[in-house]
Amino acid sequence: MAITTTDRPDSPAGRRSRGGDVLAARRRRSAAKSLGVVTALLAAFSVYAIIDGGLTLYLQRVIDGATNGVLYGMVALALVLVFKATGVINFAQGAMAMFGTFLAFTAVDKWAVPLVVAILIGMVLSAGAAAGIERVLIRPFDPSNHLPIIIVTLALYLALNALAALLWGFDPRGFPTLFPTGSDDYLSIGGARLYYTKLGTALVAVAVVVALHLTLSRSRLGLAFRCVASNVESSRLLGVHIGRTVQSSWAIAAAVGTLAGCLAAPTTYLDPTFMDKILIYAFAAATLGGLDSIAGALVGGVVTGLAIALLTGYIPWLGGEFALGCAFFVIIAVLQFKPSGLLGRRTQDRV
Amino acid sequence: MAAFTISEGSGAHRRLRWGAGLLGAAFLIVLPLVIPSVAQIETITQIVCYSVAILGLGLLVGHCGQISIGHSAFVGLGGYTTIILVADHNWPYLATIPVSVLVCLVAGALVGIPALRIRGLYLATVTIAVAALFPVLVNKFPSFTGGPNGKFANEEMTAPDWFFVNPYTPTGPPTDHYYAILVVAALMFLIAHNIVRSRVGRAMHAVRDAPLSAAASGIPVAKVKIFAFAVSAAFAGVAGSLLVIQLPAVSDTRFDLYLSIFLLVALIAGGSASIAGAIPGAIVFVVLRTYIADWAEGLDLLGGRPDGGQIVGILSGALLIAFVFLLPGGVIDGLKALRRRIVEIVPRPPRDWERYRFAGRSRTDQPAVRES
Amino acid sequence: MSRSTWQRRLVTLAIAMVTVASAVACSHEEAKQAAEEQKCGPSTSEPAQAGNPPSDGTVPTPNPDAKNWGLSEGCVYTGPGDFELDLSDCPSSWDNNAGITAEEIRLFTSMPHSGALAAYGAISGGIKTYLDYVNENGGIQGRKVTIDVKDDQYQPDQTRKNVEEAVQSGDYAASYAVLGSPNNLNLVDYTNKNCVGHYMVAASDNEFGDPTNNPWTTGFGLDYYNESGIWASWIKERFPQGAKVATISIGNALGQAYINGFKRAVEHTDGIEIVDEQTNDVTAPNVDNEVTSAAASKADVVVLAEAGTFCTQAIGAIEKSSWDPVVVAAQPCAQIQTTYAPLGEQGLTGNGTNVVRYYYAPTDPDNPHQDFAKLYTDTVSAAGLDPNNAQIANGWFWAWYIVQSLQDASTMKGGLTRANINIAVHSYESTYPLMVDGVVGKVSGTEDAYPFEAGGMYTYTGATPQKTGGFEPAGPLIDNSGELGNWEKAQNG
Repeated sequence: MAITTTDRPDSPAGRRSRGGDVLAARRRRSAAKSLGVVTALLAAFSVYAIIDGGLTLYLQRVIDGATNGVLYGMVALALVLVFKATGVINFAQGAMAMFGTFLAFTAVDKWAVPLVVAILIGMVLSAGAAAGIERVLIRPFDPSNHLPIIIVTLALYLALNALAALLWGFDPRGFPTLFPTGSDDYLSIGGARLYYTKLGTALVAVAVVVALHLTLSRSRLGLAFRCVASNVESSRLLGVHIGRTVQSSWAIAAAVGTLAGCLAAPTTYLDPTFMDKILIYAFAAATLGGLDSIAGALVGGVVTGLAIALLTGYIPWLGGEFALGCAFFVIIAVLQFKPSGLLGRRTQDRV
Repeated sequence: MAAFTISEGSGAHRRLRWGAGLLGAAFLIVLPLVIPSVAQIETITQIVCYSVAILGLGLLVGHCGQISIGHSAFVGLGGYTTIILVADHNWPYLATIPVSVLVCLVAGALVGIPALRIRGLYLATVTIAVAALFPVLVNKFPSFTGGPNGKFANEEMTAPDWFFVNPYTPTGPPTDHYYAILVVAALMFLIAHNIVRSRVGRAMHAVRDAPLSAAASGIPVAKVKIFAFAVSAAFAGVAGSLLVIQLPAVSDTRFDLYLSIFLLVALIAGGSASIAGAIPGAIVFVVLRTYIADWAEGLDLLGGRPDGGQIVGILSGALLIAFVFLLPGGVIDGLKALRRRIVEIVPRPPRDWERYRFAGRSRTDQPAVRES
Repeated sequence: MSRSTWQRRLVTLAIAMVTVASAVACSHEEAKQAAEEQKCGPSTSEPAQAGNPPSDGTVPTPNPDAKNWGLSEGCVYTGPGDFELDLSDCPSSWDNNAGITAEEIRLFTSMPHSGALAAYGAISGGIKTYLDYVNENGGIQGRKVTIDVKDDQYQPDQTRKNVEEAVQSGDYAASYAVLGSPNNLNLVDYTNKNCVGHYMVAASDNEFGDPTNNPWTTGFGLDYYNESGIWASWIKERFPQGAKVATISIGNALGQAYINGFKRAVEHTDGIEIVDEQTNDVTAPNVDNEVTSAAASKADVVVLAEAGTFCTQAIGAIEKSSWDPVVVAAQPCAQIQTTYAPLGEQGLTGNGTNVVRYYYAPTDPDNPHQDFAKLYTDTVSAAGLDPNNAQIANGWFWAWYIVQSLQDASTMKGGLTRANINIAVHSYESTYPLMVDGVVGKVSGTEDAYPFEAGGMYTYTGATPQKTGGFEPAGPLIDNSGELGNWEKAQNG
C-alpha cells in the first residue's frame, strides 16, 4: 500500500499544491452552486406542496423521502467506494450486502448474540469474503479492461442471490433494529411522525459518510484509490500496489453495504431480493451525487428519495409506479448541467 | 503454427470464405428440417432473434464505445409495435418491421441525446432508466398495450402456399417462422457488416477509441453517437418484431431490466467488437435460459429438495465466470484462435505499399509524388 | 451432364412421392376410422390393479353422479350444466388416451423455479407430495398420477415452449397448475386449438372461466372478482351509512386484477366510494410513500392489493402512521408466518387486518381440521420440505382437486380418457379437508365456471410483538355462489 515518491512525500508545500487549491476552490464553488440550485428548486416545489396538501402531509413526505434516501445513499456509498478505486460499478454490491445482512440475521437468530455484535460479525465476514472474491475473481483481470470485470460482478449477483434463496428461502423475515421501536417512539414534527429507527439510521449513515470521507481524503489509502482509478499504469510506476488497493476498496465497500443492509432490513424486511430493489435506486443516487464522491453518494441518495416522495406524491398522474421514472428524470436533468454529478469531480482528458 | 497459410484476398482465401459462407447457409437452411421437436426449432428461432438484438447492442457498445443497459426497452418497443399493428390493425407481420425500425430509430436517437453530454457509466445509469421505465409505461396504457397481462395476436404468421414447408405438421409453422426470421436476420447482419466497414463505421471506431482525437480530426462526434444509438435501437426493434413473429404474444415481464443485463452479458460473452460475436452470444443466452434449469434439476444436487431452480442461478454465475476466465475476448475470440491453428490468414498489405516503402527516407531529396 | 442427372433424380423422386401418396389415399378410409377411434373412442387401458381411496377422507372419492356423464355419442362428451365437448374439431392426430396407461396418468406443468419469482415454484413441491401420498393410498382407482415440472422463469415465451414440447411428445394427459397470468393467457388459444387440457391454472384471473369459448381451460382458487366482491359486501355491512375507501396496489397483473374487480364490485354497491388509488412499483424498496399519500385521503377503509413483502410493509406502515383505517388485505397477505410474523421485530403486530379466508393454512391455530393438518405436516416434512411454506400448502389444495377430477373421470362413461378428464374438471363438487365451513369447491359446466365463490372475512388479532396471533371471524360467511357464473357474464356485469 505504500506510495513511494521520489522526494518528500508528506510535504504539502510547493507550487503544485497551490495550483491544486485554486482548482479545489473552483470545484467547491461549482458544487455549492449546483447544490444551491437543487435546494432552490426543492424550496419552490415545497411552497406549492404545502399550499396544495397542508404542512403535515408535506413534512411526512419529506421524512419518508429523506429516510428512504439515506438508505439509498448508504448503498450508493458502497458503489462509490468500489468505483473510486476501480472505475467499475459492482453490480453484485446489493447481493453482497444482502448476504452479509443474512449472516448478521443468522448470528442474531441462531447464536443469540447481541445485535451490535451480530452486525459487526456480518460486516467483518462480508469484508473478508469480498477481499477473497477480489483476490480470486477480480485480480486476474487487467484492471483497465472493465467489461470482463462487469461480467464477473453480474455473475456474482446471480450466484449470490440464488445461494441466499437456497439457504434462507424467499419468505420475508423481520430484522431487529438497534433503536427503540415502541409504538410511540417517534418525534412529532408538525404532526408528521419521525420514528427513532429512521432517525437513528440516518444519523449512523451520516456518521459513516463523514468517517469515510475523512479517512479517504486524509489517508494514503484514499490517495491510492484515486491514483489507481485515474491511471493504472502510472500508479503502478509510482509503486501503488494495485491489487491490494482494489482489494481494500472491495472489503470496505462490502462492510458498508452490509451495514446499510442491516439498517434497511428492519423497515424493508429481509428476503433475498430486498437489496436488489434498493440497489437500483442506489445507482441513481450514486450517479446523481457523482460516482467518485463519497459525500455525493449521501446527497444523491437524499435528493433521489425526496424527488420520488414529492414528485409521485404531488403529481397524482405519476403515481408510485413512476418512482423510478421520477428518480431518473431528476438524474437526466441534473446530468445535462453537471455531467459528472452534483459533487463529482470533472475529469479532463488529454488527447 | 497453423497448418495452412493463406494470404488475404488470394483465390484460396476467397474460396475459403465462400465455402464457409455457403456451408453455414446450408447448415442454417437444413437445420429445422432435421429437428423433429417444435420446442427445439423455437429455441433456434429465438437464438436468431436475440442475435439481432445483440448485434445491435454490439454496434453501440463494441463499435462506438457507448454503454447501454436500456436495450430491453427497444426490443420491447419493436415487439409492441408489431403486435399492436397485427392484432389491432390487421397488418401482415413482415410489413410491421419497417415501422418498428422507424419507431426505434426515433426512440434511439432520443435516448442518444443525453449521451452528448453524459459519458461512461453515467450514461449507463441513464439507459437503466429507459429499461426500468418501459414496463411501467406499458402498464400505464392498458387499452393500447394490453397492460400487465400482455397482448396477443390471434393469428400466427403463415407462409404463402408455394412455400415448400408443409404447414399442417406440428413443426410446419415454427419452421416457416424460422425461415422468415432467418432471412430478416441475415439482412440485418449484412447491414451491420456494411455499416461497420463504411465511413460512419470508421468514425464510430474513432469515437470509441479516442473521442477527443476524433473530434479534433473533424468527425462530428455528436452525430456519430446519435447515429449509433438510433441504428442500434433499430436493430433491437427488429429483434423485438422477430420475437413477436416467432410467438405472437408480448407482456411487460418479457422486456424488463434483466433482459437488458443479459443482452449485455451475452454480447460480452460472445465477443463485443465483432459482428459474428452476436451469434455465439445469442446461443449462450438462449441455451442458458432454456436448458440449464432442467439440466440443474436433473443433476439432483439437493437430494430432492425443490429449490433446484436456485442451483440454476449459482451455475449460471459460475458458468459466466468460467467464460470470462477462459475466453476473455468472448467466444468469437476463442473460435478465431482455433481457426488460426488450422488456417492462418495473412493480411493483405496496403495497396502500393512498395512505392511508399522508403518514403520516409526519400522525402528529403525529392518532392512528394502526387497521384493522378 | 451433371445437371440432367440432377433433374432426372428430381423427377424420379416426384414420381415416387405421387405413387406413395396415392397408395396412402387408397387406405384412407381405414385410416380415417382408426383416427376417429383414436380421437374419440373410450379408454383403451384398464387400471393395472384395483385401488380404493382410504376411508379417512384424506383422498377424495369419486362423485356418484359422475357415472352419468362422459362419452355420449360419437365424438361428443357431456357433463352437467349444459356442458358438451365435441372432439371432432381436434387435430387429426389427437389421441384420447395419450398420457394414460394402465399404470399411470401423466400430467405436466410449467412454473418458475429460477429467476425473480422462483418462490412461487414451490407450489409444485406441494403438488408432488400430495400426489405421492395419493399414489401410496390406492392412487386414482389403481392408477398412479405423476406430474412433470418444467422451469419457465415466469417468462411467457418459455412457458409456451415448455407446453408445446410436452404436447408434441404425446406423453401427457393434460397440463395442470401452470403458473402466472400472462403465461396462462398466452396459452389459452394454443391449448384450446390443440385440445390440450389446461386445467386449474395457478392464476386467479376471471378470463380463465370461459367454458363456452375455451372449454380446455379452467381456472382455480378464489378468483379476483369474487374476492373483491366479498370485500365490498363486507365493507357495506360494516359501514351501512357508506364508506370512503383508499386502495394501495402492487403495479403488476395481480394488483390490477384486484383493483378492476373491486371497482366493478363497488359499482354494484351503494355508498362505497373509492377516494384514493395508489399503486407502487414492483421494484420499490418499500411502500412508505404510497401509504403516506393514501393516509392523506383520510379514508375509512384501505384495501391492500399487494403481495409478498409489500403486504408486511404496507400493514406495518399503516400501523405506524397516524391514520387508523379499517385494513382489508388480499389473499397473498393472509399468511401468518410470512406476512405478520416479521412485524414483531419492529414492535408492530398487524392486529386488525381483515382478510378473506376460504381455506385454512395447515399451520393456522384456528384450523379445526388438525388431523389433516398433521398429515400434511408429517408428509411434507418427510419429503424434506418446509411445511410452513404457504406455496407448499397451496400445492396440496390444488392437488386435491385434480385428484378429485381424475377420480370422477375414472368412473365416467368411456373410462379415464382425456375428454373425460375435461368433463370432470368442469363438474366436480368437493370439499378439501381444510376448507372453511360452508365453502365448497363446485363447478358446473358452462353455468358455473368459478369453483370458489364464498369466503369469510377474518380479523387478525391477539398478536404481540413477541408472538403471532390468529384469525377470528369478522362476520358471517359471505357466499356469492353462482352469481358470477362465467367470464361472459362477468364481462357484461
